[in-house]
Amino acid sequence: MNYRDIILTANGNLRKSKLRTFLTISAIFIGAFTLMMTSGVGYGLRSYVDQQVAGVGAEDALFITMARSQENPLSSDVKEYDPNKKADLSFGQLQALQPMDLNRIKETEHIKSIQPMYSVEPLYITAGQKKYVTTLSQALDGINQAMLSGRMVNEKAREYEVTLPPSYVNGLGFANEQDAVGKKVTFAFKNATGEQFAKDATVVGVQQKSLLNANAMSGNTAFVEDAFNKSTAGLPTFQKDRYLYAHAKFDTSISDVQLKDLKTKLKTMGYDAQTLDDQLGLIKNVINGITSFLTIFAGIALLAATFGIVNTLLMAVQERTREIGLMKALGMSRHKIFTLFSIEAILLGFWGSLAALIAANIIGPIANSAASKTIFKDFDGLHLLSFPAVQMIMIMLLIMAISFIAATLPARRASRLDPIEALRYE
Amino acid sequence: MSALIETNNLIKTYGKGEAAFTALKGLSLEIKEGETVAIVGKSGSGKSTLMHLLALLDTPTTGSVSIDGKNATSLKRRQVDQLRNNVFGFVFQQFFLNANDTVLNNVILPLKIAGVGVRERNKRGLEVLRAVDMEDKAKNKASDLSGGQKQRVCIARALINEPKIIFADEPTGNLDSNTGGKIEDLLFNLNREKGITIIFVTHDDELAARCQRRIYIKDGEIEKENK
Ligand SMILES: Nc1ncnc2c1ncn2[C@@H]1O[C@H](COP(=O)(O)OP(=O)(O)OP(=O)(O)O)[C@@H](O)[C@H]1O
Ligand SMILES: [Mg+2]
Repeated sequence: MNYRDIILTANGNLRKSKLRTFLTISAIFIGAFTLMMTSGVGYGLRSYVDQQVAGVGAEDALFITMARSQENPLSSDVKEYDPNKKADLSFGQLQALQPMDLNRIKETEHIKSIQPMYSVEPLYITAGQKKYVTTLSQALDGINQAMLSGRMVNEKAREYEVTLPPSYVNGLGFANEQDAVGKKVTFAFKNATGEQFAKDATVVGVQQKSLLNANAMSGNTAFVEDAFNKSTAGLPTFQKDRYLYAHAKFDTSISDVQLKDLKTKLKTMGYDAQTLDDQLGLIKNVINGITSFLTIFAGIALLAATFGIVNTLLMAVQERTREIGLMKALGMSRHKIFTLFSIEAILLGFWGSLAALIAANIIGPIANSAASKTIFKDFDGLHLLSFPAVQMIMIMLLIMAISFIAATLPARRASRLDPIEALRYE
Repeated sequence: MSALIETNNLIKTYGKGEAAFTALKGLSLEIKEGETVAIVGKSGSGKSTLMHLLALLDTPTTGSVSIDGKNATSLKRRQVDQLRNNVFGFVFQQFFLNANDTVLNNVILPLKIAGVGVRERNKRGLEVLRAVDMEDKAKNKASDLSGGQKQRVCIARALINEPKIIFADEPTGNLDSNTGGKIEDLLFNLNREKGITIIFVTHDDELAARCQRRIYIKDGEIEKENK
């Protein structure tokens, strides 16, 4: 029998017992569909994170904080005073970086530059009408940010520049993202003595919402530094020059091992240094956790489907014992009989996973638009479910391979039937 | 003429222990190329069993079958498949048609197994159906046929691969004498014109009489042979 005839015969056999075929395909469908959804979610989330990172640049950035203290905050140990220990100026649990820290870090091998991140807390932002509470963060040199309109702030500029998150555009009285560009906004701050002061900045763009800046204004260094200096004017320097973060640049020509050494070294000096990838590592771990959990479910569903296939084929072999005997009596080889039943199983896998593929591609976009309108409203560019062709084909092949394995027992049994005994079978 | 099929002390025992039953008790015979042979005997005497062994559909408990001088046990499985598919034609006593398939599909099954293309095999299928006067039923389901019609379809299936040896187990048992006679004529013509060896299993003395040789079997042994 040639392969075309084998495939046609196998398909014809499946069609002869429609209900049984349908039920088996349904079981495969459920497994395949779950697997496709799982992989779709994993892929969707991962590529969202990757896309966020890819746009960012900043391969040479290290985000530095003081190392988290290992002390148990509930410990009741009483410590003796040490005059050489620097003043414990902290942001909550985390100690602050001070100018001497910045200098030490800067002197470290492979570090090219370091810049403190000024933390300022505006009271509000306004464009002349309503006032809104806001947060202002300092834009970092070399870190890209996707824009809906306009451009990113210029780090080198002496003029004060900010970019807005899209949610502020309407409230501040701008018609749309384009309209906001070039307009003036005013930030109000409080200084150390409690007096309010205002500073103007030019809106140079509207940023796209992303993982990295949820809903904060982004100002250039000139603006943020100036606001910081004014807010802290009058404070003694030891209270003034304290920073939660510093942004260091390292020599990108160093190897991964050297980078790791650099981080370890900083650690022994008492600092935590993370690249952007490190910071996103946590998110990726969560995504991987979720997808592996879902994959287990898909695996269980597929396992059940596998038993379904074995059962279906055993029944088919039983039912067609005479037919198999006849084919053998007429000279069909064991090998071809085996192939015939394997192909039947592979076809079951094929139709089941094809149906799953179609369903996934129908349900995927619906789920995506539903998700981006509700739970993932704030994540621009996130497609919860992505079904890249290569992965889908891999899943289909995997399921066909599983079907083939499931078929080996029944197919072997069929191929070894004794023709005369099979023909006698009632 | 050399022996086409030769058996040596064939013994076939079914079952084991208490239930063991020896259907053939040491049969030796020779069939020459181009012969027509009738195997005659009472019901249960072992005729079908013998035919299945000769056709390599079953293996003897002891003893051997040789085809063209080659011991069947020395043949590779692929060679046996080739013999069944290309060289032998079978008419089974119980027909063994695929009930849900069409008559044509049943008839062309040996060609399909051989890997012959669709058009060619359908053409040849219709030809052999015409030869047994069943062409008009080609598209019918096999289960719709009468016993005699089924028998003729079986004969058509046995002829389609232009075999060198035909094994026919009661080929005319279900046919009236007129139709049966026609089928016999067809088979004997093939023997005469193409030198095809035919081994009949039959109760029918008239059919047996038309054969060159008759082997009488009783209780699994050769009772007598005559020419
Ligand atoms: N698979 C089997 N298991 C046990 N006994 C069997 C088997 N096949 C055949 N027999 C026995 O072997 C004997 C010979 O059977 P066989 O079918 O060869 O008879 P036959 O001569 O063809 O009879 P009929 O003319 O009725 O077809 C019978 O007694 C039968 O019961
Ligand atoms: Mg019989």
